[in-house]
Amino acid sequence: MVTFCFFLIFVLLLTITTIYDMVIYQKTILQTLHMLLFTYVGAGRYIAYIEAGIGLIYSIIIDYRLHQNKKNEVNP
Amino acid sequence: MRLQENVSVVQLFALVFNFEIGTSIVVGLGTEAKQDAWIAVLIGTVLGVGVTFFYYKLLTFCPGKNLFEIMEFSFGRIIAVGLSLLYIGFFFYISARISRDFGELIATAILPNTPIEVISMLLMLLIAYVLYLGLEPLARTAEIFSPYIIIFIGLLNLFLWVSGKLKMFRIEPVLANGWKPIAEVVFPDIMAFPFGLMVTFTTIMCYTTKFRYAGKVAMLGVGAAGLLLSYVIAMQFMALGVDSLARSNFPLLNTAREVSVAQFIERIDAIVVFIMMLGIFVQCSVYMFAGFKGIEYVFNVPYRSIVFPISMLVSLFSVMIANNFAEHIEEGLKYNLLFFITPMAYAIPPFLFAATYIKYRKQRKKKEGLV
Repeated sequence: MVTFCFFLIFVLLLTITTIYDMVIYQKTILQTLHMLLFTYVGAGRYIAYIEAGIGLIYSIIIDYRLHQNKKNEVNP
Repeated sequence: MRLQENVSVVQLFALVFNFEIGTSIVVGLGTEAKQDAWIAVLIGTVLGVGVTFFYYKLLTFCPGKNLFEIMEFSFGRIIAVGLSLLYIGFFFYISARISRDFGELIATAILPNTPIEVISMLLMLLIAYVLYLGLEPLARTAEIFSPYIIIFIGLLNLFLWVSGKLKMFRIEPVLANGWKPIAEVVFPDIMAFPFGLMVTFTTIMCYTTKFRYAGKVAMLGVGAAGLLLSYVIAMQFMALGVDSLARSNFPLLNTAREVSVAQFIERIDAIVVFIMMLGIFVQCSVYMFAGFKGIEYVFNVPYRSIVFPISMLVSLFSVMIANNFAEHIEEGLKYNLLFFITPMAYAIPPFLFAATYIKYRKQRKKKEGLV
């Protein structure tokens, strides 16, 4: 659930950001997405991607732990 | 396991006060009204107090319930989940914007060689840690540091007077262009930001220990913050003048740089950065908390388990939302205010209020009938 939530929030925020950039730059949705995700990727942006990646890995670990806890509760 | 959050009325006051000051003090408020900006902020404050009362009244129909739970009470689970997702996106998006403000401020004023991504990450890690501990540590932080804001602004004011930099003629003539420029700034700019954003407190006020005082305290907080903001803006205009202020990205920072007492007390930027940092920290944390409460409601998971991953995601988006400061300000002040904050603060809540009131009346009648 935590991983799903992570992706959902990612999609929500990406949608809002994309809509703003589409309005401001007068570009199509694909062009805007490409611009947002790939065009300005520099050394700094990689740091931000790594942060988000760590967040994703952490959410997968939490989900695994929650799953294990549930299993243990069912079969003590 | 879900832990019950509790904040005292004093802590609620501190939260509201810091929340309202937040980024308003960083990027300035109502500067389009030129030297009459302080009047615009005063009018906005009066209306903001009314808006806060409206949000408090909404909460009184369902004591102990936050915004998301009230939506379920009024519209049912399916619609409530849809609206909650909208609000969750809203809260996290605004958090990302505020985090960007912070990054730009620190990169400009203190750490010019540090990547903005690192600054944003550090802020988000701090917020994640505080929110993981709960709402109370955040409220205590605000409670402890709030007096410093007033003391530091008082000191800044004193130093500017002593330096002879405050010139009354810079805020004159008053109402030179009439009320129209002021009205244009108040509606929708100031009413949306920062006063409309009090909608965020519909997820916090319900956790106040003495809920019956929460409304009055929140209104007092908005009033106090509004008065302080109005004074600070007047001070900025008196120190910098209309033209310099219009060109300034961080007006309060530039104002502080004007201080020079006997060529000894100079460059007191650190004081101003502290004021801004505390406001931004509290404001961003409050939005994040509201978003987490929304996630807790929609997914039925304790919000503490998702604090770290989502904070990292917000940190990423604080960088992604704009390629430079100019774009960030353009999006924030032009589009975000009008097309996102205004509907979320003023379009949905009245419908929610009406629906909740009708349902509340029905339930009360039913109960009275049973008695």
